[in-house]
Amino acid sequence: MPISHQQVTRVSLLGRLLLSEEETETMTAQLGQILTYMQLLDEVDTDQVEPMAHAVEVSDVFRGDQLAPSLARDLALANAPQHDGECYRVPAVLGDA
Amino acid sequence: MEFEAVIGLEIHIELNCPTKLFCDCPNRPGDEPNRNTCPTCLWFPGAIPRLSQAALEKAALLCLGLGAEIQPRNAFDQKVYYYPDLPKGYQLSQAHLPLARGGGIEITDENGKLKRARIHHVHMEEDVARLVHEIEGRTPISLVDFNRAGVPLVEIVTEPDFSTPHEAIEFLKALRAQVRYVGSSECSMENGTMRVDANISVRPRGASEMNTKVEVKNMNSIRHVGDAIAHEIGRQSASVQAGEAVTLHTRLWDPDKKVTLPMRAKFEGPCIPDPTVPTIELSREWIDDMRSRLPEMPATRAARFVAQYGLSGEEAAFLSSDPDTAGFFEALTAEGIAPRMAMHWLATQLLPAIKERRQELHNAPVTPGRFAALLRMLSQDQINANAAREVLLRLFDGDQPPAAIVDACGFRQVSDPEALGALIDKVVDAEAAAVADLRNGQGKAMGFLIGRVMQASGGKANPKIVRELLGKKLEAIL
Amino acid sequence: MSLTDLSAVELLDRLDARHVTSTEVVQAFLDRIERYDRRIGAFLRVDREAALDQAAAVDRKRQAGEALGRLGGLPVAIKDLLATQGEPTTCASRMLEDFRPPYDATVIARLKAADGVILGKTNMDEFAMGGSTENSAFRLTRNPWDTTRIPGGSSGGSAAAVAAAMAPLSVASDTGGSIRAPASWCGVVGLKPTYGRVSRYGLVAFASSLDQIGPLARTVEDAALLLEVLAGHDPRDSTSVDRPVPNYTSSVGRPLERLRLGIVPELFGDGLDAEVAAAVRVAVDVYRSLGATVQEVSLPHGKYAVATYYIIAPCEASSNLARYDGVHYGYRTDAQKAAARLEAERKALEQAGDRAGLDNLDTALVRMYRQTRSEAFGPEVKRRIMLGTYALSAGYYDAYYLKAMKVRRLVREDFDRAFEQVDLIAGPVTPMPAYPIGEKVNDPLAMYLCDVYTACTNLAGIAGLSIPCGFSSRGLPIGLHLQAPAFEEERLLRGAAMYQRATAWHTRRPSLDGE
Repeated sequence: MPISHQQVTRVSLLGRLLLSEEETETMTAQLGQILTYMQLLDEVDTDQVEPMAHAVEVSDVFRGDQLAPSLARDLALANAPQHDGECYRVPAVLGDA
Repeated sequence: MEFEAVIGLEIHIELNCPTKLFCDCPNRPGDEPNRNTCPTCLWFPGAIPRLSQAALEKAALLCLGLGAEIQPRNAFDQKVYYYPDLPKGYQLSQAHLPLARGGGIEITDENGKLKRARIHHVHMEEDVARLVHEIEGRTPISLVDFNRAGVPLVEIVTEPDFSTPHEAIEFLKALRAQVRYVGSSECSMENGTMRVDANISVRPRGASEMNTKVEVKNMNSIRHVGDAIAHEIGRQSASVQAGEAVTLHTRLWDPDKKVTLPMRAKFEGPCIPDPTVPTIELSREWIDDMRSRLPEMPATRAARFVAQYGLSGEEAAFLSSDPDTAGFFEALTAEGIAPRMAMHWLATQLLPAIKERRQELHNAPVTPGRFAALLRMLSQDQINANAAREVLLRLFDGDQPPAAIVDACGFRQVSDPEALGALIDKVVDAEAAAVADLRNGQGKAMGFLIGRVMQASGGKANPKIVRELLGKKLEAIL
Repeated sequence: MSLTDLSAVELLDRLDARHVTSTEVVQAFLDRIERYDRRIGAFLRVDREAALDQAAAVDRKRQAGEALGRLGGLPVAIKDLLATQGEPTTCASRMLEDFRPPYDATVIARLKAADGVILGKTNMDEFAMGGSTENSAFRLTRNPWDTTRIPGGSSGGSAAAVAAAMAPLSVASDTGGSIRAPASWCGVVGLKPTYGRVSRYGLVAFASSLDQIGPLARTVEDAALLLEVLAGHDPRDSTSVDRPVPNYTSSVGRPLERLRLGIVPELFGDGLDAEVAAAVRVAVDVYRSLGATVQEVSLPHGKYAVATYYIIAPCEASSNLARYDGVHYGYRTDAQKAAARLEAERKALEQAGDRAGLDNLDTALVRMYRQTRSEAFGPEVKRRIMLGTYALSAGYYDAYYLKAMKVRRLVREDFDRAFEQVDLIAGPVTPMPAYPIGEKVNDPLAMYLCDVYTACTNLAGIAGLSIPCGFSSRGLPIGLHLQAPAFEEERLLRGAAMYQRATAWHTRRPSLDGE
């Protein structure tokens, strides 16, 4: 079994998702199937191969550091679920992580 | 059992470039909340980071100033974790390929022995937003201000080379001086441009294995760092002594209770190379060019002060610990003030006065020129030390030249022997008892008499001349 | 002949010649949307008034003799993951249902500057994750050729809109085949440019090293026109490449002399529908008849493309979607309900004396995040976040993500080698024609396997295009896939156009109800 019920629950926390019992069942089966398929990659010899993290070989792209006008605060806050006109409001994070 | 401590430090330093690391918003976290944000640093859907050249240069200079080796190839990674101060759920940092490796600072341990505190690496990363905690009615809420999100930081990670709080403090002071010299940051713990976390573990004295470490955060000054480390060493030692295991976790320093308290651990997510910020490839030439831009660093400057101005090692170290202080000192000497006098008056009078007024040397109204003028009057005996101190205070109130203040306050010293002679005669006549004491060998009466003369002169008499003349007069009559 | 039967280039001719106004053109397409989109479901939003206002403004400019942009008043449909200032950009997700970006994507700004008229935002798989557009939170899009079947995804709305002549042009995105597959299933032309050819600023990211924006149209010339407007370096996108944009529209008509066409025998294996295979072979024969030489080339790592892609893309997606946390934009769960539920759970654990459970219970903040994301994301998005998060978690990073990044380089090197011998590579776009709605929506692996021919293009970062090349016995479109080396869009377009001129597949139209 490539992935267990427990692992699915643990990963759901890491990914900040909350799955119902039913969803966890389905997810375990589906991810299991997918991960089994991924084992195909074990066939490939990649010992001497450099990973390809960027799609295009561009380097050293810099910004000229010209100060530009920021977004007006009310525009920035316009999409906020909760705000007080100055800051975004969230449930307390004291001692939270 | 005796324990020894193994301490490593992680220092975050806010660079003083004009814009944020990945967008053109102003790098001014202290402005009104959420005024300095844009779709990029708010990480709206569709935003793409653009790396600041100024930030790279300031970071590189800082690394070179610390003797670290710039890595010709470095890149950004995504450090994923979920927290309201992180607008896109990952922080752009350099976990795999940092900007520089190695370097270090020479410090002295408690016994005065020189020791090298090594740096493991230095990397760039973006700062996170600021959270403010409030109570609304009975509900605790947190408010998020994204002005600081995206501000350019470097993080310096040291090797666990420190054994005592003293060493850590020495290192931080020296580091602060070096960073200020390079000009990459204000580097002040008081305003958040320098932040320190400490990793502490203990082991039996003389052992070589390292035990589980504990991370301590929330220390707001260099002194707090020392206090927190000392407390934590004690706490862990007691723990181990009692047979308890030390677990890997994070603690917060409580400056009021003076203890460290456990904090719920942050979920550390994965770290993958960021595909949107292109790799940084730095040539030998670029690195050499950066190196040529380094100013004279503190240690070199201190050595020069000893050689050039005849100051003691301690004095030179003190002056060179801050570039503004060193610069001010040299401006005074350039105006002809004797080095020892300049040092003394700068250290014991001017700097404390500035600190009291919560000003900074570079923006205080007391310029080197005005201060030098005052000190010149003192060295020429035009005023005495007390008067000089008085005038100094008044220099903060406006931009009058010191001479004008001296005259306005009537502080000019009286050195005229005739005028002083008359006063001395009066005092000697009036204080027969003191004179009699002197005749009986009580030397203290001399000081009393001088004091009386100073009083009679309204504080304006030149005490040296008074002593001289009084001595002559007494010699004559005793 | 109705205006909506004309290609974009033909419409532009008539507009330039003042035989017709932009208002009339836009009106014609709006009428068609009105008539057919209830059934097809291609659009999430159409703002009639705004579109007609834009058209009127272009007409005024034309009347006044002012110079016009390249699109001169042509209407364009936009996939709903491109930021349009002040207008909802939902990515077909509840998470962004009310999100109005305060800025335009670069391509949108270019469209507007070129005097294109935005008709509306098209439906898609949520956050571009899916191959059928069944994963939209808001509506179902049907294939105009057979409305019981999927149009493909994730750009299903765009492809259906163009196929049903509800828009002559559309701008969409392709991460593993999301332009090309729907184009092939809907019988239209779809192009994925080289990575870095078009700015991604304002494109809601799914997988940042794979995503690319591209055109959908009914003809290759139309695609060339739109690409010319979209392409080009953008300082706001550090991954966009600073290379001049060729004049695609003037070169597209020139056939490729001595074209060396490659075909990959490994692709024509068991999994490929016989009719699709046959149509592709016939297309290759057409190229022979046009003077091309055909050789076999090998892409030995092609068979690992799906596995590689479905590790890299979800991994990148899991961090790209970490920003959807309900803090500063997007959906947020009802915090009170979340708190109440949490409290109930705490009580239950206390009663059961479950110390471990209590220690591990979510904090209020963590629960807000989890509930927000679970309520606002659909199952496919969740699946990919789970897959990516798992693959990147401690202990698995090397085995999955690092491994996939290495295989990715091998895929790229396969193409580098192949393109030393041939100029273009031809093959199928999808393993079968459009399948019925509902057939694969609960079988994710089966759906992922449909990307077997297209995902490698994105992995390698090169250019690819789908052009109609036949129909199945059920009357469903079949597409021909052409791939070109990086930044050879000109070659790709010329090669596709020469095929198009020799065939008529692209001229067939679906018959819609009541037509």
